[in-house]
Amino acid sequence: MPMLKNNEDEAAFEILYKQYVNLMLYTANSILKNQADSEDAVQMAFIRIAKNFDKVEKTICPKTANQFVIIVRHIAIDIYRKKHREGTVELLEELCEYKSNTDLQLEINYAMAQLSQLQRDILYLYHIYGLNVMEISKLLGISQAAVYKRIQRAEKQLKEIYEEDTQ
Amino acid sequence: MNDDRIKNDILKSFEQECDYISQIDISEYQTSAEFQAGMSKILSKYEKKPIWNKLINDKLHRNQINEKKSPRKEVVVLRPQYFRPDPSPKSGTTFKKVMIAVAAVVCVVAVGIFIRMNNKPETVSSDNTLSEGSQTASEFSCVSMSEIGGMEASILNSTEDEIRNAINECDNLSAAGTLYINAPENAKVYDFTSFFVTDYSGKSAYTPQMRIEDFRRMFAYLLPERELLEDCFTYQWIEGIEDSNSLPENPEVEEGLVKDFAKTDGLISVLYDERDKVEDSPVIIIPAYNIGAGYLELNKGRLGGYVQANELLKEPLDARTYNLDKYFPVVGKYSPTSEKSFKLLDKEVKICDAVRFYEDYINDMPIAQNLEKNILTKVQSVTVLQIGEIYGYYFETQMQFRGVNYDVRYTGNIASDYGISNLHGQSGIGFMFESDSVDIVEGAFLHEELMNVKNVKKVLSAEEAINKFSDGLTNGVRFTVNSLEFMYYTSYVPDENGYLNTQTNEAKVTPAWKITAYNPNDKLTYFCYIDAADGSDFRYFTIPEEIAYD
Repeated sequence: MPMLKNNEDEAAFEILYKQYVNLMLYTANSILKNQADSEDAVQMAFIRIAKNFDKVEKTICPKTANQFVIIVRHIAIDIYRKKHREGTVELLEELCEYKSNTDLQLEINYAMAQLSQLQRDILYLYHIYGLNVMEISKLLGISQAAVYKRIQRAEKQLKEIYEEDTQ
Repeated sequence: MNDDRIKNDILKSFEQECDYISQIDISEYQTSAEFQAGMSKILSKYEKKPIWNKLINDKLHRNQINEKKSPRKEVVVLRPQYFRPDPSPKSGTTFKKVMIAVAAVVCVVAVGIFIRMNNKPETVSSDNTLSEGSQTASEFSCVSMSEIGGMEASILNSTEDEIRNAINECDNLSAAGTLYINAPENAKVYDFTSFFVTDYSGKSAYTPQMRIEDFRRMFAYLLPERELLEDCFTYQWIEGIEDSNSLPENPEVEEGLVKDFAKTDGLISVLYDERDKVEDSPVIIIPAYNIGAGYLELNKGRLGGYVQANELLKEPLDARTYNLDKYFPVVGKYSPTSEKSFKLLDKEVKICDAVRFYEDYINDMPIAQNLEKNILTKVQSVTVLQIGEIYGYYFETQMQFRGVNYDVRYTGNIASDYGISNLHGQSGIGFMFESDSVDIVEGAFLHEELMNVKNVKKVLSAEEAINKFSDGLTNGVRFTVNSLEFMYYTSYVPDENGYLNTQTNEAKVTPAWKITAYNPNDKLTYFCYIDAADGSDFRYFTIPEEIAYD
C-alpha cells in the first residue's frame, strides 16, 4: 500500500484489519443501519488509518479497538449527515451513543456521561492517545479549529459540572 | 485541581468504554464478499503505484528533517467533502473513488516538492491572443504570459448594498452582518489547464548548480540582514533516471554541505536549517524544487525566541511548527481587507496593511531562473492570535491569476473520501507579529504551467449568480450568506483509467462564482459554486462548522 511506509507497517495493518473489521462494521451499522453504507464507512476508516498509521495504536488491545471505533464512528456520522442533510445535530449525538444488541449497558463516570459521545471521543484522542490537534483533525477529517473548539468546550463543560457538584 | 480531576475522569471513562467495547458481541457482523475484495485490493494492488516515485527526492530530506521530531503542517489544505446534488455513495463505486482520491491526496500533499521540468514552450498558438485546442499535459506545450491576451470581462459592478439586497430578496438566503465580497470589477478571465511536468533524467538545462544559485538569491531576499551559514546549508543528491516508472525504492543518495557540491547533473534537493548551530531564533528554509513554484517553508524563529523569552509555553516552539492556532488562543477571523488593528510586538498595525506587506514580501521574491512569474500569492483570510500580551496575524493564502483568486482550500471533511474532482491547487499560511517582518511562511505561489488557455469574454453578473445559488439550494431553510467570491475553480483531469494522472497532475481551471453559506438547521457551512461563464453546474460541499468573518 502506498500509504504505508514499509513491510512491517503493512503486516501490522493487515493484522489490525482482520482483528477489528467486524467491530468497526458493528459500530458503523449502529449509526447507518445499512450494510453497504457501513462497509463504505469501514473501508474509508481503514484508508484513513493507513494514511495516518503513525498516529494509531498498533497492538491488539482495548485501547486500539477503541481508537478504531472512534475513527469509524466519525466517518459513519459524516456519511449519515450527508444523507440526511436536514437532520439535526442532536439526532446525530443520540445516534452514536452505544446501543448494544444485548443487555450490555455502558456505565461510565458521572461527569463524563454528561458529555456527548463525540465530545468524549475527542478528549480520549487528546488526553489518552496523546495526539495533538492537527493529528486529531487528520484522523477524524475535521478542521483543526473544530477540534480545538470541541476540546475547549468539553473541558469547560466538565469544569461546570464539577462546580455544580461542589455547590 | 480541576485539571487533575478532568484527567482522572477521562481515564476512568475511557477504561469503562474499552471494557464495554471488548464485551460487544460482533459475531453476526460479517463483511460482504464485495467489501473483502475491495479491501484485498487496498492491501495489495497499489503497492507499486508510481506515485511514490515523485516523492522520492522529497522523502530523502523529509526523513532527515523528521528525525528532528518536528511536527509540520501540510502545505496543501485539503478541500472538504464534495457534493453533487445527489451524492449518495454506492458501495461498489466508492472504493475506486477512494483510491483515486487517496492518490490525489498523496500527490497534492507532495505539491511543491514535485520535480518540475524546465521545459520551454515547444509550440504555441499562432493566434497571438490565445492558445486553443486540446493538448494534453504530456505534450508539454505550455504558454508564456506574453502569449496570453484576450478581452476584459465585466465581473462586479454592484455595490455591497446592492449585493445584500439581491441576497435578501431570495427566499432562502440572507446576507450575514459581515459579508465578504471578493470579485474584481473587470478582469481578463480565462479557462485553462494547469499541470506539472516531471523530469527524472537529471539532464535538464536547469542544472543543480543553477538551483543552488537560485536558493542563494532567494535567501538574500528573504533574510537581507542575515548571513547564510554554509554549515547549515545541506543537499541530498541522486543520479537522474531515464525511466521514471522504474525508479528504485531506495536509490543511492549522496549527502553533504552545498559548499562542497560539484555535480553538474542529477537531482538535487537543498535544505537550510540552523537548528543545530544557532541557539537564538534558528532559521529554517525548505524551498520548492524550482524556487517559486509552489512550496516554500520559511521560519525565521523570531516567534519561537519570543515565546521562550517570555515563557509563554511550557515547551519551546519548534522552528517547524506551523499550526500556530493550536498553541495560541484565536481572537477572531477577519477578511484581508479588514481595517481592524491589533498591537503587534512593536506597534499597532491594521490587518489590511499587514496583508499588503505580506503579499508584497512573497510576490517580490526572486524565483527560479528558468521560470516565469505568472501567479501571485494572495491572503484569503487572517486569523488573529493572542501571543501573550500582544497579537499575531496568521494568514491563509492562495494563488491569484491576473486579478482573479484561485479558490481557497479549507480543512474539513476530507474530500478524498469520495472524489477528487475538485482536489487541486495549493494553499499556504504565513505569520507576522512584527510590523515590517514576516516570521513564518509555508507555501509561496508564483508560477504555474498553463496550457489550452481560452479567454472567457462574458461572465454572469453577481445578481444572476446569487439567483442561481438560490435556485440550487433547498427552499426549506434560510441560509446565511457569509461571502460571495469570483474565483478560479480547479478540478483534476483523470487519466484514461479514471485515476489521477500522477505524471502531470493535470487540472482544469475554470472561472466560477462561489458563495459560502451557513445552514442553521444542519449546522453545516455550504460552499456553493456555479460556472461563471454560463451559470451551469451548480455544486456544493459542506463542512460541519460555521465559516464567518468577525
